[in-house]
Amino acid sequence: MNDQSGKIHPISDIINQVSEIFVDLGFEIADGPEMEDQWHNFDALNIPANHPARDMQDTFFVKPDSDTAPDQREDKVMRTHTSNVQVRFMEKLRDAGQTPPFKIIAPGKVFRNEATDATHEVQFHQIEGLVVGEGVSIGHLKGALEHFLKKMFGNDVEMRLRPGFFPFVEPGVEVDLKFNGKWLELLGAGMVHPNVLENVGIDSKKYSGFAFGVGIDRLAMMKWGINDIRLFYQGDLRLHNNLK
Amino acid sequence: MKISYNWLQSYFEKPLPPVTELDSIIALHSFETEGIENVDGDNVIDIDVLPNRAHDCLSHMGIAKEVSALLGDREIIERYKHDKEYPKSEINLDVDIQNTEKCRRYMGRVIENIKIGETPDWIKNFLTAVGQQSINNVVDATNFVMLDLGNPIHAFDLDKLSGPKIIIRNAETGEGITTLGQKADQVELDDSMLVIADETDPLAIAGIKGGNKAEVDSNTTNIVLEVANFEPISTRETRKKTGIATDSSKRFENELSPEIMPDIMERLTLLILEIAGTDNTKLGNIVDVYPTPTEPAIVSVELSHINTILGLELKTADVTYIFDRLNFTYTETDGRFSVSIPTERLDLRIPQDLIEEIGRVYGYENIPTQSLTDIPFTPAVSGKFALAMSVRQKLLADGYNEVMTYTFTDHGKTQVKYSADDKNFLRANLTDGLTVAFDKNKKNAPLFGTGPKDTKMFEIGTVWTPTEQLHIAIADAKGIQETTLEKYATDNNLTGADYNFNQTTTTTFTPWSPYPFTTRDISVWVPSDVTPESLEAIYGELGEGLLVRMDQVDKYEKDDRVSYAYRLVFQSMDRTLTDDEITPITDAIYKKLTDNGWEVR
Repeated sequence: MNDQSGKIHPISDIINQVSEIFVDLGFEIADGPEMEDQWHNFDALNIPANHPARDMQDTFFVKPDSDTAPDQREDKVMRTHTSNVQVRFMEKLRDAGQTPPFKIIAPGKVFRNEATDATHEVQFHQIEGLVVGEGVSIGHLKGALEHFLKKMFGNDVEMRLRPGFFPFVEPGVEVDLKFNGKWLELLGAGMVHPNVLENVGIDSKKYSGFAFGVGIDRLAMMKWGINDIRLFYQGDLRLHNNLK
Repeated sequence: MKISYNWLQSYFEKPLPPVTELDSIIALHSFETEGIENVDGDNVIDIDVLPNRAHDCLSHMGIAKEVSALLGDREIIERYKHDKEYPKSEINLDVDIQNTEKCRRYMGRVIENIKIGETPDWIKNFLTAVGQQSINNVVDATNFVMLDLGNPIHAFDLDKLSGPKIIIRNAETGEGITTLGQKADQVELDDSMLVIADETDPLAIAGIKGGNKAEVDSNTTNIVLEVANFEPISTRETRKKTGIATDSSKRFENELSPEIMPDIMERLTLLILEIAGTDNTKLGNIVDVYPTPTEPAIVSVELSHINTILGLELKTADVTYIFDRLNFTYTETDGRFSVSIPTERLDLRIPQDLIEEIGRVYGYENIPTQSLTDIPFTPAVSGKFALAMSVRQKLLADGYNEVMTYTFTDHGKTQVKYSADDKNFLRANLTDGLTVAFDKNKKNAPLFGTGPKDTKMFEIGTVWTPTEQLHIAIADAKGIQETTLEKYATDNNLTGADYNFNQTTTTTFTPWSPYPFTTRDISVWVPSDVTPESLEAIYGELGEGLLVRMDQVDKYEKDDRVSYAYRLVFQSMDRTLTDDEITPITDAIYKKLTDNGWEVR
């Protein structure tokens, strides 16, 4: 048994699979910090200060270091989505004096302060996708997602878009996948809200874009029939052993 | 929100499509639906109204307007019809808003000499269908109108007030109120909360819940009707502080337009007169205090912008067709639409909001897919991602398994505000979490067909020292080594340049048993022409479904005989196995081996 290869964690496995699909479509893999300031996690994404998502029950707020003077303390949070990477990427683009188009994905770990059960965890993984350019439309979003889901779940897969609401997109959509004969909610997406583009200095009259966010844990659970999200984070090799 | 099919039908003369069809139309074009429940012959659809539509769609009217727009072939009819004339009430109601930020508009109206009694069946049936209890005709009317038209309503018993004066003021710290349905439980109020009061006591927590003092009961004859608009954020804060969440607080927290109130007061009045009016009923004027009226919203959008975002080639007529179905008033000049937004649609403020309306009514399924190849971009490679990929590939190739453990722990250098005090730190290293997992995995080694010494694992993960850093920790027989990912990569000459997306062949997962496993080692001498497969067949057959794994742990040849040692792992999915269950199995195996003329060691 010693000369056998080790087994990759199923979350890394899915991240690789999804990343490969989008890298083949010309996407760049971008990253950002897991502990984030409120500008990049919320404000820049058009999530105003009184939005329920900023409440204690959803977000892990970091306790400021008591050695730091109160006015110097940064109000940091554990990022609630990898959408912070969108903002960081676009700010970098702006600071480098560059303009769209671009296509990025951002895989990574995210955190939510909620009660855990078989489908909810305080930490999980997400891949965010963002495409901005002239004339980018919902048709492009549909094209990208359809390609992705076919590669992931096979050519027979069916997908549908329904109205959805996320503060950082308008229009916003929920994307369902027909899986074993049933429609399942798979991911949230939409056309980037003009406030998000303007917040990072991109002219929303000239450019448009789409964004989507997909839960990696959920993809792995669906694809392989894993029945409890908490199994991913126990460091328990029975998980690897029972994935055949 | 629970929406009754029969209630919805009451808005239309023409029959609605069957409930399952209606459900899927709503699900595809408006809101997700959570199921259809049959309640006494009515069908109730549970609709998840989106947060941006909670201004206008937490009501049957809101959903009826959606249905009207989506079906496109039916008008909403007026259902509040009561044409009897009543003499004027002589009582002059006074309304005094002392906090105009938190109470944006207040309409009050006195009705004298009504009769409290049974509620007509048609209202009762609608209320029952959506899970509301009938109380009396006036209270039911206020509930009905809220669920019908969306604005919460309150009715006070006028004779229980200190006088015909309603004051909307901040509560005083230390003040208390006993809310409806409670006996002695006082709700503690403070000056951040808004109350409706008479000149001596609070009567209601504004927008949240009424108090006992002016409760409408079976002896009530004179009432004050309240249709009001309260500010969302302060309503939310009061709800959180008091812990009282109601149908009313939910609607005010999501913000309502004050402009819808006059219609609602008129309709509410008609309904109360119809079901509680008497020959002596007298009707007071509406007292309307509205310090800062909201401006009507006008939003413009260009046809070209619509087509760019949706990826369509709509014509002016296609857009006006949808605007008409949505009942929008608009003008159009050279492909530019100027839309007067219906007062209750607080979600429509920028061109993209109108584009969404067009997109969802037109149907996202009718938008053709487009390829991304016409968006040129030369991607760079993320250093961090590539480096992690390279390191992972090397360790997997060396036989190490990749695991993930928790970021939150009970010690570290950075604290988070977390309710559980064993998880309120961010990990400062990977080693502590990995140690626990490593010990557990070593104990489970027989399940993996390895010895404890062969357990090899690693984690790549973020730690806070307190600086955020990407670390790697590797556990094997030598112990656990941890370093930064960068240092590990440098030490092992990994640059990230060579990564590839290795595909695994994983297809399915089988859950494991929560019960302990037990092992038995069996060694047997067999002639050299007996294959290990034939031994495995015997073990498998006699394992009685409890044998979850067998591994050949030793093989020894002497003369023309071979000794095979196997480790058998037993485990049940539904119980802890005892020796009494395993011994008969191993005995049967020994017997079979001996019967074959083989020597068990």
